[in-house]
Amino acid sequence: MSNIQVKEIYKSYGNTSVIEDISIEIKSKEFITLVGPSGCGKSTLLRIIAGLEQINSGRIYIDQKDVTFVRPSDRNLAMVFQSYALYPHLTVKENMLTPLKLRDLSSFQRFPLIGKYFAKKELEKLDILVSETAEILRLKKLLNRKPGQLSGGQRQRAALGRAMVRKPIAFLMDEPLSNLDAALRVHMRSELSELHKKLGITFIYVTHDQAEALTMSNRMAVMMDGRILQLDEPNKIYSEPNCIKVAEFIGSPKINILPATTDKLGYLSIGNFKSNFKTKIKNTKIFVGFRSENIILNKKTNQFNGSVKHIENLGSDYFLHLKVKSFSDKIIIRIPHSDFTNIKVDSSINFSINLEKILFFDVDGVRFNASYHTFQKKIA
Amino acid sequence: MNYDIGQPIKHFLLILGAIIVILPFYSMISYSFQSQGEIETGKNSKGEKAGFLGTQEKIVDQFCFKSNTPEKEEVNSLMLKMPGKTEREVYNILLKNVTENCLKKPAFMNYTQAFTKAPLLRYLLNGVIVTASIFLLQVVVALPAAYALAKLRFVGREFIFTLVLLCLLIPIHAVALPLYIMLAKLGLTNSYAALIIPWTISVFGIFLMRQFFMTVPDDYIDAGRMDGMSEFSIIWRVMLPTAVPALLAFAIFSVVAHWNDYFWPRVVITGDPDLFTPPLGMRVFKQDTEGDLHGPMMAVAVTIVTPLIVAFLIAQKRFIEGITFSGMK
Ligand SMILES: Nc1ncnc2c1ncn2[C@@H]1O[C@H](COP(=O)(O)OP(=O)(O)O)[C@@H](O)[C@H]1O
Ligand SMILES: [Mg+2]
Repeated sequence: MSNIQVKEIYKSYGNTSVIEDISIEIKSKEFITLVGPSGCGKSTLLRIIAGLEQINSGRIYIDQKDVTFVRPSDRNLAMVFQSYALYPHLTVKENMLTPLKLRDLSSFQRFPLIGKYFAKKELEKLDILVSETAEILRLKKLLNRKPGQLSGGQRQRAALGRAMVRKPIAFLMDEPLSNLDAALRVHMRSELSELHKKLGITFIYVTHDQAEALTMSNRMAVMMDGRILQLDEPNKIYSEPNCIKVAEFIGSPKINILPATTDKLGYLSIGNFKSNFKTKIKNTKIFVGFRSENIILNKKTNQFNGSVKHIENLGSDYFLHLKVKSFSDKIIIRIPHSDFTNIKVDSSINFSINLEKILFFDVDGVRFNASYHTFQKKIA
Repeated sequence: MNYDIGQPIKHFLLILGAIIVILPFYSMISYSFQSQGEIETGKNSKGEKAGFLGTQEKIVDQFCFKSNTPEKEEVNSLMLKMPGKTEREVYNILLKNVTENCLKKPAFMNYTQAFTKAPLLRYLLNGVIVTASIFLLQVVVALPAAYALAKLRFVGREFIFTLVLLCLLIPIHAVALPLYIMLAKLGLTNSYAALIIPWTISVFGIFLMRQFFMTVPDDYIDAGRMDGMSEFSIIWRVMLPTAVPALLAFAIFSVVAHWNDYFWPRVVITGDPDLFTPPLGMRVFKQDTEGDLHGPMMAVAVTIVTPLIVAFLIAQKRFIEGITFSGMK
């Protein structure tokens, strides 16, 4: 089946390099997300795959065929734009017919006014394709409206429809949900996932929203400054990020990163707290990361004490932003609704880090594995 | 009550401005209803004030009079029927008849002369052919040029755009002579081509459309490319429909300028009056020896500007609609 390969791509605008040495292999039928902060080059990479952007060097293959210099429309990919880019003067149906007509009719048959009388049979076929797609996307009632007469969500579906009708080998989507309101955005996530399963087509999805990437994709590529930092399944990226940058970008609220040291035997201390957790590295400055949920509210073995500076109520959970002495950054911890009793701003909280879930980063921010070391009780 | 002295002053100035702008039109329309004498003195032969519509006191139609002046044979044949009268007396009788027959109300006279002495319908048709061709060709040239300048990346784009801006500063009169010589060498003077070709590249049109295209999101173009459109299809199928309001604005400028143009047709149409555009129609009544016939001339002028004003009033509504509907989201 059709896979897409991007090999050693470089792209710059003038002197500013936007994509630096990106290689990625997109498997057939997968839902892959390119995620990263805005300006990192996601859209550019997507547009390069689409053929809308020239590259300085590198190669792009679709089905092992070199398409680096092939026109966008001949790559048989379809794109859904952030602004939808539905032709404003055409109805939804005409919008959906446009790519089909351009592909299936001769230029004579597309001739204004008279052409259509010479393409009756073809046009009937195209109409069937449009109504099939409209059926899947629940667009039937909207076919004769113009884009200006549609709501945001309807435009979104119409844009999907225009991309879908010609049955491309892959959908390229550039932040397709970012113009929708929050509730609809969450709803559309599941719609898109379902659509992906139903169609069995490759989805290449660009977003700056790590939650979208985590919830929808089979694999996600975390991009920063024109490079792919990590490409893996969402849960892997969440639990085993390559580096601090990835760890900090993925997951909400942000992961807590604290400076730490190991002593000459390899025992870990975080701030003032000396743990009985032994690592293989000795006498080094490192960073440790732990997510907000990886803490224990334990009255007895309290490692840290912090005062509450801010409380976020999410209904099922509470996020507490704590100021802990000896750390400059605030620490965010998550506690379930049931444990939330009588906590106010400036309350004092004792908590411990779940050391089994802790992540280790060297001073350069690269993660290394220290957790396989035995978890021993230090003799008091 | 808080009385704002600024408001009346503003309105006074605006009204004054409006009067200054409207006054020539007022005179044009008023003169088109009046006789030459009324135009020159403001009074009719009895000394009554002419007013806006003139007094409509009948006067002799000079063209009618001239073409019907009694000829020698007429006088001779009438002399046979009227024995005892001198040739002079018979001539005067005939002349009196002609004069009476040629007495007309000035308003009627001016407009019939405008349409009969000058083949004004023919001129109006020429005007339509020329202005429509100019506008269409200007669009055909300006849209692709503006698209390239606004949306394509190529070496020298900024330089070319600077050239376009520079060309905006060159008045037509500066290049009229070389243009005329070029057309003459090609043997194209006295043809529709001479009236149309020099205007097909409108730098103003290129500039205006370029500025408009800058505001059209790139996504539309990329969508066109993904759908398999060529760059030219993108221009005609995507950019043109979104640019309708801007094109209407440009159409107003272009059509008004070339419909009313007196200078250029005067330069390149030297012989064949069949190629005259409407403003040249006024020349017919500019009679160097006997003075100008202002009444018919103004009737021509009124006839020329009426279609424009009607078209503008219709377009104005569409124009505003166009701007509000285009709202591209
Ligand atoms: N046409 C362009 N000219 C110059 N720089 C550009 C152009 N398009 C994008 N860039 C730059 O390239 C970088 C990546 O852009 P983009 O791929 O759109 O980022 P993202 O989609 O991740 O937010 C940005 O810094 C942006 O300023
Ligand atoms: Mg982007």
